Amino acid sequence: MDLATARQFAAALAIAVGAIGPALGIGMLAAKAMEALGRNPEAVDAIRPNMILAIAFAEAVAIYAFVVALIIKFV
Amino acid sequence: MGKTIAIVVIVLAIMVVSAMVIPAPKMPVILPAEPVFAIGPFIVYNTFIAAVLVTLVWLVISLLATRNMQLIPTGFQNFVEAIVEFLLNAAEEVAGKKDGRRFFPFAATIFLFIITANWMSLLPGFLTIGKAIEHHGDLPYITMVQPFAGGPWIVPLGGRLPEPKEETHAAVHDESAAKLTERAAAEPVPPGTPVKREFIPFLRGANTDLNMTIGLGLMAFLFIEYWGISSLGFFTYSSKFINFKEGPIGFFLGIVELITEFARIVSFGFRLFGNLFAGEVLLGVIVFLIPLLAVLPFMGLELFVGFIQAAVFAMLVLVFGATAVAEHGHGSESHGEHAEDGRQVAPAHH
Repeated sequence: MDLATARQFAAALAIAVGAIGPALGIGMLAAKAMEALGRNPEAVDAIRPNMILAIAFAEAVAIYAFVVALIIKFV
Repeated sequence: MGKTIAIVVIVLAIMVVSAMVIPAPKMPVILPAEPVFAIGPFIVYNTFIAAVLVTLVWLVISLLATRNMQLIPTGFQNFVEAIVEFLLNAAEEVAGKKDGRRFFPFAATIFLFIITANWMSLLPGFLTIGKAIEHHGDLPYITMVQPFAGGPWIVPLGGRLPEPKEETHAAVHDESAAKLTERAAAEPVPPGTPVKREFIPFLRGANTDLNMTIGLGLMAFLFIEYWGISSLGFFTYSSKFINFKEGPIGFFLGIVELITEFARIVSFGFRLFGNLFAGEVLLGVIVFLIPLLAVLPFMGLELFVGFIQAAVFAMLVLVFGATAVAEHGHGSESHGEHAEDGRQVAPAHH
């Protein structure tokens, strides 16, 4: 495998593997938030911003993987 | 029922036919912003133009809304006041009554700027109107030469240009391009390098430029530190980070806090940039696959992402600000004090 091909694979793998963790994390977060909402629908105003914040943190990890993939591909 | 099916069939037919008939433009993924022109040593990039446009939009809105102010607002003033009130309520909810009001101007500015920039970048004209240039080498943004005469000035998203002939080695430089070349080209281009043609859009979403988002993150960081220092005093505030009172574990936790504080700049910047840039690439890829109609739901997705990212950025500023102005969490002496202003209900401490 020459360098160019290796870079393509590395970029694809970086985002593919890097997206697994955040995907699971966001799924768990949303599932728990839904669960809490089902138990206590009144608390929607307290739950929603916290859920979005936490999802943003989990999502940031996927974004890091994306940036790394871009760096591998272009730099 | 029959009507729905007919509509679905027509839409699918348009999509399939367009995919076969219209030559799909291939999306060039260009990471840095492209320079459009230069004023002296100052190079104007297309993301910068978009950012200035956003500022102008809000300037005009503010002027129109405050031109004829009334105590009981009507019309446009009412609309703008509703936006501001909504944001103020959200800020007070997240950061508490007192701090929310204090953080509000900065957080709301960030929110409005980001959301306007994000939504504006979905307008027609962004990434599609621009000029074609000739260049040699792999870095069009550094060694750009000349907009070629008669070239297309309007190209569909990432559109293709006619292939240049080998001998069209551009000799005539226009002035701004010459300055760019002069600035960047330390080593001269070897003769015989093939000339490439590239399309440079005049407008590109402001937040698809890492410089812009890191700049916003840096500004947020400075404001958060300022809030913390101004409300706790320099020594109390810095004792959160350099802490000799609670033994070695407290000391190292303080160091970790310090690193986290600086990592926020990068985290702010990359989150916004990554989301918006990925959205741009996504739209380009969809247009490449199916030229007509298929991009519409993804436009909706981008509207949503644009709002969420603006909200997340502003909310994180508020939350980090609330954490910064809160007293040192471990001490037992500081509890009770904040109970009356409702800060305890804020989603603090990360």
